[in-house]
Amino acid sequence: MHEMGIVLDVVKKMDAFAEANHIPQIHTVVMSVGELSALEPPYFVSCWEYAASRSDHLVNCGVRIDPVPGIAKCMVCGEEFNLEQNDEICPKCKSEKWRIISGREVMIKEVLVEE
Amino acid sequence: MKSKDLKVIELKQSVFEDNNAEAEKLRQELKEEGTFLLNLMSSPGSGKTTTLLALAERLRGKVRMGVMEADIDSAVDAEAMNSAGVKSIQLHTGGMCHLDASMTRQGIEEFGTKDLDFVVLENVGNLVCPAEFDTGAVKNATILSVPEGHDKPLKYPLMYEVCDLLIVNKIDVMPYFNFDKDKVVEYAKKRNPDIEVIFVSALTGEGMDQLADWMLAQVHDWK
Repeated sequence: MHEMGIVLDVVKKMDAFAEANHIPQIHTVVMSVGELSALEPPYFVSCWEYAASRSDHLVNCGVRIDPVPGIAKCMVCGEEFNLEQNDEICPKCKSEKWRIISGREVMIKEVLVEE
Repeated sequence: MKSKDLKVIELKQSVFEDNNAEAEKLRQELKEEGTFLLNLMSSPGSGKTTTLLALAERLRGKVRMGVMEADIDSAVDAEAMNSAGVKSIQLHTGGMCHLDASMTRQGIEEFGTKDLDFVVLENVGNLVCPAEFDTGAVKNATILSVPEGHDKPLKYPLMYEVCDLLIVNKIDVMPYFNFDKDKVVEYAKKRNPDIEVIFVSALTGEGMDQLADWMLAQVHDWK
């Protein structure tokens, strides 16, 4: 359960961001979460409500999670493919030797504020 | 309320950024003081403590070694180390599932590593979370014990991807388990072609000299 630590960190950062930019309340924080990261979106959301309600500028702030697919590059033929959809096997040359090129990231993508 | 227009402010800020920067800084400081820090990860019960005790025995008089224990359960491991004459402390993770770079730094500062050449950070017994966070260690190693099965690298790919060394422990019980030596190497290399694999039995001592040599080479390279 490392979701809580990450949530607290994100809320703290966004609270400071709102303070610095004179934003009274942030409406929504949008996260990009890779499908290959060890972050479980449902846990993240449950932790979020707790942490946000205890902040200054995110009291009723929602969180939206945009998933990032797990993409690998085949080390044999160079094909880039979706790992989950292809059972972790290169669809072109059937190799199981690949490197992950995306899908591991956990990012604060953007914030939505009322105009 | 919802009818108001929303303005989008793009941030694209990585959540791991701060930790990665902190880890890099810590590594730099360790380089300056010439201390090689190894982050050792595994499932609970794979034999980390026994392996470290066997390793300490072989490194005695060659390098000054210390161990930082971060298992959540107790101070038992640190006590075992101290009574074997290895400088050791217990880190309290407060129920956290992993160590990050700032926790490692706190441990290092508390421990005092300036007079040590080789420090092992015994991470929390868990194959998922510790792999996600850079601790600031110079190298990562993982222990897989024979009873866990040779297909473990397929189940926890990230752990094997971030590790420089795979230690396969408890090889003395291999005849009793359906454990395939070649398969474990094949599966680990599939996730990480650069990973090195050493087979040991911390109990009987088989392979321990090879492991000790690997560690010695790393410590010397880091100086």
